[in-house]
Amino acid sequence: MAFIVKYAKLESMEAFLVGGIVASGLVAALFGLLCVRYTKIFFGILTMALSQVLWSLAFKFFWVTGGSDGLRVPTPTLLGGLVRVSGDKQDFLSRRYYFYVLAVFVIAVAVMWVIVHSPFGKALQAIRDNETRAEFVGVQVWHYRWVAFVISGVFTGLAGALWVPLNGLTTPDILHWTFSGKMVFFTVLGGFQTFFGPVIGAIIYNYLENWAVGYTVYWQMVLGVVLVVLVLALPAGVVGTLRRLALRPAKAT
Amino acid sequence: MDLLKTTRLAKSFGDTHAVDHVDFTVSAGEVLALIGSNGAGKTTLINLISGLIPPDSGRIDFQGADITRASIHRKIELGIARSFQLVNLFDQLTVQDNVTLAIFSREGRTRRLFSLADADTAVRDEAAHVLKEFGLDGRTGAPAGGLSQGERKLLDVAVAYALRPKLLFLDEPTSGVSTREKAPIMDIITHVVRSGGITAVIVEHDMDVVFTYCPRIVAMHQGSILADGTPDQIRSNPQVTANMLGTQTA
Repeated sequence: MAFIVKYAKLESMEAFLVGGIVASGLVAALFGLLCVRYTKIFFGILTMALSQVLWSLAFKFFWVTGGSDGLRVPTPTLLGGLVRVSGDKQDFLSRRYYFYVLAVFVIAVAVMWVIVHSPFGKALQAIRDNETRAEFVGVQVWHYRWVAFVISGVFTGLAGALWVPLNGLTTPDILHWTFSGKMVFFTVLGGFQTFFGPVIGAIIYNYLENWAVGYTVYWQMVLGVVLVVLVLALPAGVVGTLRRLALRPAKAT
Repeated sequence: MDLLKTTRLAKSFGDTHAVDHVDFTVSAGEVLALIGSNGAGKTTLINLISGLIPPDSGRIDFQGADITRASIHRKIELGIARSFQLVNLFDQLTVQDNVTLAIFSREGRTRRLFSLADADTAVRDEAAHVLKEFGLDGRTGAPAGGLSQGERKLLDVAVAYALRPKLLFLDEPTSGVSTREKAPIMDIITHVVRSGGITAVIVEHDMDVVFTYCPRIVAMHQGSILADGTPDQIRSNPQVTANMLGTQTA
């Protein structure tokens, strides 16, 4: 996205979104060829290692990426130039840009919901449950995992493109594993077995982080303790646990 | 012409010849049993033919074409399906989704990202029909992981059946279920298979089941085929009696 500004001199948010999606999709397609051959902890470590490679490249090649200083990204125009920054930038970001992000978010969640409930989504759930049997109903496991990996990359690229204008700057930090770890935190917090779990997890996390940062200088420890407690006490996450509690009376009848 | 033919098919694990240069044929339309004691090589033979493991040597022909090195996916496309000795289901999916997935896959529609699976009434109706044939129509919305062992065995076969195979391997379809449940399960399976015109190879330990439901029996012992014939021929075969049936039918 910063490269679009730097080299193509574009400031349209739609161009940023397309650029973010295409770039992330291509990187995911390439990395996926290697990563989806593995599962579980090996898959996790490999994806983390590859993102660390990207981080170190972005950090070292400062004449291209700006290194630790990053690249400045101006506040973009919205809806093909129909909506522009006028006056207070903070006001623009907290109102017009906020609703723009909200609209893209709702569309993205709707698209994800359809994918999860499509025949392709069912095939992915089948692979999750039983890889061998999935092969024996004709699902080519490796291929489906790769497509899922690319889809994941596309949505991540979309999220990244929406995130950068808020900062006004993009630095190698967003490629670091600690940033990626936040997404895992969202998922564990909300619950990875429910569709809206990660969404709720992201909202809770951001409120929690804001509160902890204002409350103590040891805010990272607070988040760490929360994560440990969650894993031990609520392995299904907040949404997963609530759903379980809601279903309990129905089971008893 | 034989539907399936293996020629000197072999697989070893270390020094053990699990399948030892086996020549095995299956004709279209028949329901045959593959019997043998533990370690006889029955499941390995099925694993080789279905593509779960590659053979060391030999050849597999299906409808006259060499499929020895074909992928699992290709073999399913050609019409070879199987169930498993240890039930292999998608436990978190509903009973209906287990079957609809097989139908979507058969139709080449599992690659569709932007259509809702549950909105496809034709697939849903076909799944309901399959489940009714297998006596599982009352359990469509239940998660597969919550079924009884007998129901899981039936669903395992139903998923394979929904692929509309030409040749169906059933690996011990009544193992792990009570004696009382075996006959009803085999009644359903053999009825569905025969009415669907599907050729079936049933691996089974229970000799009562085999002699009741299968007009042709192939007996394996230590990786080789010991005998091949009708139930009466198998019962009276001295080698089979000595190695597998003991004094049970002598």
